[in-house]
Amino acid sequence: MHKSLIAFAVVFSATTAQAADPAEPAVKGPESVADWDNAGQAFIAASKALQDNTRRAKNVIIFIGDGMGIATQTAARILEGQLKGRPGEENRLSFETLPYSALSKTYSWDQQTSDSAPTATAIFTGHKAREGMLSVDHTTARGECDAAQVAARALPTILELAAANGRATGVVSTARLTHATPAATYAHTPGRDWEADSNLPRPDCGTKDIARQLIEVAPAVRSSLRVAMGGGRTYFLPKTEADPEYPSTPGRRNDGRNLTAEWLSSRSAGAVYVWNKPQFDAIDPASSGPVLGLFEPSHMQYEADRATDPAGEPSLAEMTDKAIRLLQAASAKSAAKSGDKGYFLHVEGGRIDHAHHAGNARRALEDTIALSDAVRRAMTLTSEADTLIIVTADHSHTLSMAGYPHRGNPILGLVQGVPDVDGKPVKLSTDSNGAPFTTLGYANGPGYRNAAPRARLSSVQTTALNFLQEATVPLASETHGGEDVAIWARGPQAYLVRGSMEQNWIFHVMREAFGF
Amino acid sequence: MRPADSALNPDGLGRRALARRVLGGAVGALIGGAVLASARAVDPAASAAASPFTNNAASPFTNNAASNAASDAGRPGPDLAARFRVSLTPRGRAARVQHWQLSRSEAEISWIKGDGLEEIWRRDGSGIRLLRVLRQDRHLIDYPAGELRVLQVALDWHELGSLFAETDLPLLKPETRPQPRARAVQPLRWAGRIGAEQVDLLWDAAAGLPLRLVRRSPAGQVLFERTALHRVAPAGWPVAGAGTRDFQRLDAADFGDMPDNPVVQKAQAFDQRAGWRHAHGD
Repeated sequence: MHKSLIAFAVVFSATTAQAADPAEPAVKGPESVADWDNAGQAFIAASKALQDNTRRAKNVIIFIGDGMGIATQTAARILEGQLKGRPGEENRLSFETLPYSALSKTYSWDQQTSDSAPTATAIFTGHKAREGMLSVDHTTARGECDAAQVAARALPTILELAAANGRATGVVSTARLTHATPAATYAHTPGRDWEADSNLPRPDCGTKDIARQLIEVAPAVRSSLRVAMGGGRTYFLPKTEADPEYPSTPGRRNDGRNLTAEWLSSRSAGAVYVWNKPQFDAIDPASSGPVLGLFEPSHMQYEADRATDPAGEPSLAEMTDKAIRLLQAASAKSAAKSGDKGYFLHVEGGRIDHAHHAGNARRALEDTIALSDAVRRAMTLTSEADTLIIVTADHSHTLSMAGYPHRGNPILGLVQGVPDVDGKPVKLSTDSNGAPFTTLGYANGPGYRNAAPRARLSSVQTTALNFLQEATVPLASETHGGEDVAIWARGPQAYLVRGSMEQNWIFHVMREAFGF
Repeated sequence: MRPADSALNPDGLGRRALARRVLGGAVGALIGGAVLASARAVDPAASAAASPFTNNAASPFTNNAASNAASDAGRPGPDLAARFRVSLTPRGRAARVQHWQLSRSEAEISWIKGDGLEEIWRRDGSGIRLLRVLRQDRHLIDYPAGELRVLQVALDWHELGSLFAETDLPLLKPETRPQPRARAVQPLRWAGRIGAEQVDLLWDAAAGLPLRLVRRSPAGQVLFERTALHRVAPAGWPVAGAGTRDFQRLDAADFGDMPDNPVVQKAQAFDQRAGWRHAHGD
């Protein structure tokens, strides 16, 4: 990445060079004076031309960047732009070009700052719920093992409703498929950590584990779920069976069941299970049956590390591409019988959150860019006329973007401000003790430096992949943030995404778009 | 755009900081920092002659071709099993003694440490992975290669399996010289300062393992004394990770979502004492 940033600096200077002037500003954007006005007028014209699409949606795709707060989004936008050799600030992630947006309030029934379980429940069921619980209402008791009690409080999800209304469905994540966000589309449980039966609180617990719920979904979902791809392979394998990619790692199931085999036996003809990149590449969406893809024993690799995976892993964009083509093919196949009813797809960039928890902004930003790439692929493969695309986050993190860095300052670098006198070079901004600081930092987490005065970062490569941004409060893991996150949308009924929204209203927008 | 610093490594950290990070997993974790500076020199010959160790005089590793220079890159030496008596002496406090057991092969290194803690390191195409066994808590913690990178755990496979990175030998001064006519490779004594630590090492190059290692800093002292060495672990030696089939298994990447879990808190405390989960290099 460093090379790209250096290249940017060269290009940036070359394109903005003017006649020699001793009082030349050290920092100059690439825009002309007229550009600002022209861009503003273009925006007005585009906005006036925008017509609310009031049709029903044939297809709904919802992307969730886990932990993708607005600071993350802004920093990722700048990083992506800088990787292209530009200043970066003027760049837009793919979903930032969508015409409708809103702010989402992410508190849950019992949390001011939420975890991913109730936020996913809000998005997929329309109900704010309790900490750690998936798609059950807030009257559910913590640790409830009575399956009847859980069933009585289960909230139908948008995926289940889509299935019941004849849509094909799919779930894709870079986290485990049994992890909170993707699991909330198909599972109902008071324990987000009950991912395999070995995770249940006691052997006689009647509530099914999450992996089992994916296999034993209601008949409508079973026939509709055409693609489920992500990580979490060992949650589907018995303890007696070794993981195919890492033979020293056993499965996690006590019940002896191999749920990947049960996927093949319980789904329609041509069902497929894949666990590596060559198998993934071999899937022909036009002819394939339902696909279960489990590419890691636990979470999939961070995008920054994906190339090191022994068996190979598809990117989030590749999985999104494959999932949409599978759903399009399934939807088309059903057209002869019942008409082409379309599909519902959920895609999660699940590892933004994990990198933030580790205090590692660069991996979080690279995974955010990977999510943007996936959205771009979806925008290309679908029509705005019939497909509602929503992009949002479940919650934020404590990442902040601070100081007065100049235009084009490396987003992962130390803050260098605009000189107060033209002709002077940029220089590092410093704190009260003369020590430089980075633009990105966390309010808490592992990046806390136990030093007073602050450590000198001028000899540290803050743009390095493994650098931990500074944090104010020492915590072993950085935490979620409680401020609003963004929602972006295009397509049928997308205009309903506006203003300040409760997070659970996103479900209502999707259901309204589907028309059921 | 910012001052260049060609001395930096790609992780943004100094090389010495990385090396200490690795050792921190074994040493700093237990004494809470680096080690004291008033070590008394040890006569390697005397140490070898009057050794309390079982195998230093009749090492099963008597390959005359083995040199005292660095072993094959990335390989800590031959497959073996060894035990160490580990004395941990925080400054101003009494020594605490533990007994550690090492099992080493090309693709797997396991340590059974005191207090029910076991570490199984494996390497494959994705890099080096760790399975930490918290036996008393009946939990296994997975640290995938990517997660270790995120935690800034810079790993040296050689060092993981030998307590000391042989590539660091040039930083120390040889205190004894090899005997050219010796029938077996003799352990040599090295001493010097690495970073903030004073190191005194009696190095068994044939085994690629110390006979004795002392690391001292103002924070205290850690002394490793090898008490047994075998090509294959004798019957009756415990096996790291054995009997854990019914243990709960967690992924360290999930710790951020489990802040109130007592096992997570304990594992994170281990991480932090090992120098992980907080920033370094500045």
